[in-house]
Amino acid sequence: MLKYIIRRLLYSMPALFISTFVLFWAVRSTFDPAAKFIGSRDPTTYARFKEKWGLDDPIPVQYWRWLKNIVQGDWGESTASGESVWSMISRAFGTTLQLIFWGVLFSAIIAVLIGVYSAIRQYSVGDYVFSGLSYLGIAVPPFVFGLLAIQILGVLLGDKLGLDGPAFFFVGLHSDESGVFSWDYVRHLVLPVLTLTVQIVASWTRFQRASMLDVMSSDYVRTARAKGVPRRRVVFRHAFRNSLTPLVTVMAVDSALLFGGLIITESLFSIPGMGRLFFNAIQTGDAYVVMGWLLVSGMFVIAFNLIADVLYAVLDPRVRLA
Amino acid sequence: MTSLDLTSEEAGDELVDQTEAGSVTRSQWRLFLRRFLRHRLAVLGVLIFVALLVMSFGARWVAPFPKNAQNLTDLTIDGPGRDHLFGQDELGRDYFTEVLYAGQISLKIGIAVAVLSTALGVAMGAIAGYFGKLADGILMRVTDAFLLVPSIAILAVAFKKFGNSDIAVALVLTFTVWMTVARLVRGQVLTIRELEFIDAARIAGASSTRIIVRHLVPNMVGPIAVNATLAMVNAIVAESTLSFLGFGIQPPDTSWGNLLAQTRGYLGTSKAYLLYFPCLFIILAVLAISFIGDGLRDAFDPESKK
Repeated sequence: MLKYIIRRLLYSMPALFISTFVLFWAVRSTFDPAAKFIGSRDPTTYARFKEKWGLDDPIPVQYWRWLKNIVQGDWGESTASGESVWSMISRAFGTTLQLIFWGVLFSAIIAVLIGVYSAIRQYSVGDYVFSGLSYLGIAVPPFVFGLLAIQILGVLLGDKLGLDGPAFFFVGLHSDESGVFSWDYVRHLVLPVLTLTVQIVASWTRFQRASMLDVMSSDYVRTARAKGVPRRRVVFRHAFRNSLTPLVTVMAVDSALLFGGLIITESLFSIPGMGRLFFNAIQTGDAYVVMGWLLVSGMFVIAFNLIADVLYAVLDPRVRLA
Repeated sequence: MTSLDLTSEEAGDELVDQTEAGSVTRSQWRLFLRRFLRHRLAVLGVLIFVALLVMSFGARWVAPFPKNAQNLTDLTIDGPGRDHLFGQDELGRDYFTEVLYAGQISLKIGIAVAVLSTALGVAMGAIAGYFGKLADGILMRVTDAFLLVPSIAILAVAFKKFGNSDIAVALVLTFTVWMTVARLVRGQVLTIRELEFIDAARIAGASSTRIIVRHLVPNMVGPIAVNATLAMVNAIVAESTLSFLGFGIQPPDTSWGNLLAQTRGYLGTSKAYLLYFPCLFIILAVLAISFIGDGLRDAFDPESKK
């Protein structure tokens, strides 16, 4: 097992290397971070800025410099603000983590409940309603859903309840100094978490339904029923537990993508997380921030994909890692 | 064998069902059409999609006002009414007209990306799958590389380089979605090319081009068509999302996405209702095309007996 994990991690190194290099090349060759100094009153400013950041060196040389620094734990600084990339990323990461935690938690609970219900009551009215809803959830683009949620659940609901402002806030995560355990925080969190949940829950529900149906029609479930085990007991003790295995791995893989930030959700709700950090950096060509972001999100994708495979082997003894 | 006798060459359009000794003569096309028409949601999808196309591209005749015409005599109009079906924006422009014209770019990009990415993907996938080895290796490495870098990064850099005209947006989006088709087609080709009728064609002296064009591609029409509808959905969603974020189509050009970007400023004001209409049109377009895709999948799949 350990050998497998180490080998997988080694295999993923070239992928990380190539993707960082390609992105660095693309960003550097497209944007000039010194452009803001063109035409400034002191004509040497432009040249001095380029000199300071080593922008005149060939791109591979600059990449090599970044790579040398990063293996020594130096993430570099933002060319736009001069702030250290590490502190920018750790701050943004903490924010994104709050969204991911609640989003994944709610999605998992809802998906399992609905998925199992739809499977054991296949072709019932409830099954059709949930299928229709998940179809809609997949079809409606996240930003459209987010906008409608702001308007209907934020503004209109606030009016209806006769509140001063919106029922749920839609800018940032805090409006005062109160901490995580406050009503203010919850009112900020509801809409972004809802938008995120709708994005993921639809596909997870369908997945859990299919997986549960699959298990329900398997031989050992029929055997258990034939032996006279009550249906309820078969569903929850025999089928349910086994049906979770595929969902767990899908959840690990899907969640990994979230760590890169929820570009749309975060920019819609002005939440300063990873997605917005990346979004702003790529627009201004802030290469070191983009690099740091790609490294963090890339490592999460690699790690969670590995975790998914290992979990699969742990949960299902039939699976062997090779 | 099932999917293979769908459109093999000698059968052409009029396929005689020989197993039943000529008792029933039905063209495959008619069978396909019958299965498709039985899929109610798919038919609904076609109706909605055609209506959207007619209303958008016929906007010059359908829309009650000329594009960008401002009603400067009465800016107080608020909310939908008989003259202004969707109300009017802060500049006094009829919003129904605006939404219809915006649909032109959104739908144009969706269709263009579906067609271009399908053509490119089928060509690349067929070549890689059929000739194997070197071409295959190169294609797979290239698609791997594209899967590593987040697509929004590619898009941001590409828009900076190539500009934001509707053609540029369509081409850039095509560039990010063609790989899925290529991979699909490659997989199909790998299975089909091992089958006997391909050997038969080769023995009969058919050239590689002829085998690809006349034998391989027609046998993959089903999955390719379904995938094209998916590509169209993805393109419409991607275009509207990018335009909403400020990357894609830029004003004064309008698409449903950048209309929504403008309505963001109306949130919390009395004009906020305007955002419902572009949302409605995006959802309608996406649902309609997905329904068509579902219908195609069922109609092309001979296993489905419904």
